[in-house]
Amino acid sequence: MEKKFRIIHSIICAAIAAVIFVVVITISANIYLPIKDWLKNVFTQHWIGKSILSAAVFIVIGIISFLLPIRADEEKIGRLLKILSWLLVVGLLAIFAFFIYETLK
Amino acid sequence: MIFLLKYFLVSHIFFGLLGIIFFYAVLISGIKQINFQKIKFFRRSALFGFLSFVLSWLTGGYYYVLYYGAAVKPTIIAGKYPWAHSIFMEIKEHIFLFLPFAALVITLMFYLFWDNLNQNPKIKNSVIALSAIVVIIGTIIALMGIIISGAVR
Repeated sequence: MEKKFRIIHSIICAAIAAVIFVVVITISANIYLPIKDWLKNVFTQHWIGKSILSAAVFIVIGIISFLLPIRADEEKIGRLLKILSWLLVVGLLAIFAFFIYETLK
Repeated sequence: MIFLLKYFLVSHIFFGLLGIIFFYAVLISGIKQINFQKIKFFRRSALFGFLSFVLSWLTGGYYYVLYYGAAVKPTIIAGKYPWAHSIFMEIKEHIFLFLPFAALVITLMFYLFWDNLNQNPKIKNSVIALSAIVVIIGTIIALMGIIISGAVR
């Protein structure tokens, strides 16, 4: 039972980290162009770079949070699910607002 | 456009819509009242939804990198509706990256956490809310795809 809780806990932490990473890399690469150039140079295309790196963040954070001696219980998992849901909404709105602002400015 | 790229574009749309449909099925069945005898239905719907989003990611990415950037984007930018790319395509390609991760969380909740969902309505409601967000983001992406396609013509 404990192992099952820890797997779910680490997967939700990994998803939270991946969502934060997508928002941060999307906005920062458009504000600070050397990041976009680096993504293009390393991964041939900036979106491929963002895709691969977000999957890498998901895997690495998932493994680290599974290995850390954190006690996972139902209450924590419920809280993390709510955080993930809110982050998806906030991330969606942030990306919307950013590209509308970039186009209209 | 060569045949293979057309195939990838159609597959991208098909799998994306399929993913939305699978999670819509999870959402509606969950809102009504989870029938805990329907364990296979929830598990399979979420798993197929997750796999559909991954396939849409791969096929859409292939089309986007090989064809969209070189042939479609310049046409939109030079046309009457350049904002179709600078707003909608930019938003679409980035918010799509949320979906596979959220879909995987929902899928694993049904596979590994089924007994707890059965006993804890708060967690069940959080999973249903997450499914609703996946359906809403997926629908927004699909609608943006229609706007982008319209801007090319």
